[in-house]
Amino acid sequence: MKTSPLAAARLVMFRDLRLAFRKPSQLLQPLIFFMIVATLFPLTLSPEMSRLRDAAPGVLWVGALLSSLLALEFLFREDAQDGTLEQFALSGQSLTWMLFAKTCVHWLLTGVPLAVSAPIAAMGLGVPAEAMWSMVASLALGGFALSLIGAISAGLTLGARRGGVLLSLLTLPLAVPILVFGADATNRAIAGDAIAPPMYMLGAIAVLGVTLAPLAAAAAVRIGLE
Amino acid sequence: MATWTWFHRFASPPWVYGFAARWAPWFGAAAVLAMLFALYGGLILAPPDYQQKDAFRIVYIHAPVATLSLAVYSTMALAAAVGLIWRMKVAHAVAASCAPIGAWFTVATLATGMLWGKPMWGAYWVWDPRLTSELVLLFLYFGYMGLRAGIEDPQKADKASAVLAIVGAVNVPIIKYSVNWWNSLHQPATTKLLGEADMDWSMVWPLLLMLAAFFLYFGWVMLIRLRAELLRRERNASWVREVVT
Amino acid sequence: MSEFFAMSGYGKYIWPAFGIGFGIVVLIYVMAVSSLSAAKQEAKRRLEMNP
Repeated sequence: MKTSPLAAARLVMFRDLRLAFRKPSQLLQPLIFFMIVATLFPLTLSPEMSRLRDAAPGVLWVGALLSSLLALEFLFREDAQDGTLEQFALSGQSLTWMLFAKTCVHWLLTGVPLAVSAPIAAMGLGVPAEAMWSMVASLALGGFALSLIGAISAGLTLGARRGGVLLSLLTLPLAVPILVFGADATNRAIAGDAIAPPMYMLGAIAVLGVTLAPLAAAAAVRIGLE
Repeated sequence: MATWTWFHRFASPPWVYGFAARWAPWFGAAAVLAMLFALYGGLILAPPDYQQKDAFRIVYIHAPVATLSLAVYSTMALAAAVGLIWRMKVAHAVAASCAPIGAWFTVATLATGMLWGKPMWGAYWVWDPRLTSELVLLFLYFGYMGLRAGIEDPQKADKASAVLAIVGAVNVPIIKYSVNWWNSLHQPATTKLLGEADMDWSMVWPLLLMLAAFFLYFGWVMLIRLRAELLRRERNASWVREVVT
Repeated sequence: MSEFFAMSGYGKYIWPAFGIGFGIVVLIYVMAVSSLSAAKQEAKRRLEMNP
């Protein structure tokens, strides 16, 4: 009896969610990290709201990237260590779909909460209330693309020494377009302009990511498991 | 079939080693000669530009190293793909040899570009699409070399870095076409491959010759590095014994 | 001759640019040759250890 890839993916998704909710404190860590990072900038830059507002898009997006990178380490590690990932690869089901499911979970547990709680940090950085929804939308979409790209580097660094640093080193260049367009969207939101152009680009990157990233991640994981 | 055996040689490390040893000096001699002629043509023969005066001459070093930084990455990604798909050790060795060369070319591109930007735009650096994506290319090279160094098993290192090289290849068209896609401070291409040049021929031929010279130079140094790479990888093979003693 | 070095005032950008560019060209070559000779020496050493 062969399960469809979608069904296998759904099983993996629910498994990951269930496992994650067994340790709720771990779920909060990326969020707390993000808040701390967002707080560091006003402390170190300048308390003037107008200057903070200028820096806000950069601070929020770099903070989001760093939190995402932190959480990426755990995307595959535990499953790789206890042999679950190997079982996935050997199962005859589509590894691509299963890794896509894991990536979606990563986004649901890191990217989405981050986007939703960003207004709190943003208020402290002088972002006006009218800009909040657009900012949340761009962070959510960008976060999805980040999770996809991060899955590739997480797969590649599975067997590497000092994998954590290497993972960040590999993800950052590929994440640059997401940061550029995401920060642009937030900037435009603050200025009151239309955010459609950068959002379309973020969407395009996300679509490209969805089609190609799980494939690359699966290839990377298989190489790492050999 | 004669053609198939001809192609098969490229999969054999000792044959490729011999090929590289034989042809590298010719590439080198041609490269040096071409560079000298191109330098003479670009620095002395070519007249100053109407707008940029003599500053435009930086194109003769900046454009070749920039083109090579992209060409080397493309070669690396292609070799990596060939190695991954057809499981050719030599292809992986080629990819590994290319990486440090390409990284240095990228550094040269950024440095010469900064020295051209200051007199032309008034700034050493702007965060425009082309410069930013060229910087990203440098990070990609570092990531590639870092990943290779970070994985113990040589075959896993080959394959993982191959995946990375292929994924990062998306950056190459971004760099190339960024000046067409976005309003960029960086000027678009001066000469098109098949079209008519806007510049005077006396300014164009040194550029073309310098480009050719740098491609020959890349062949030269890559073939040298390739031999080193093959020796290291094949250390237990018998052909190494004959080469070294 | 001094006109040639001044390059209509842009000399201080042009010459360092060519210097860095060709300096890196030389550097890449030197690194390649030294990596090849190191590989040869390493191979020789290993053959001597395990004849």
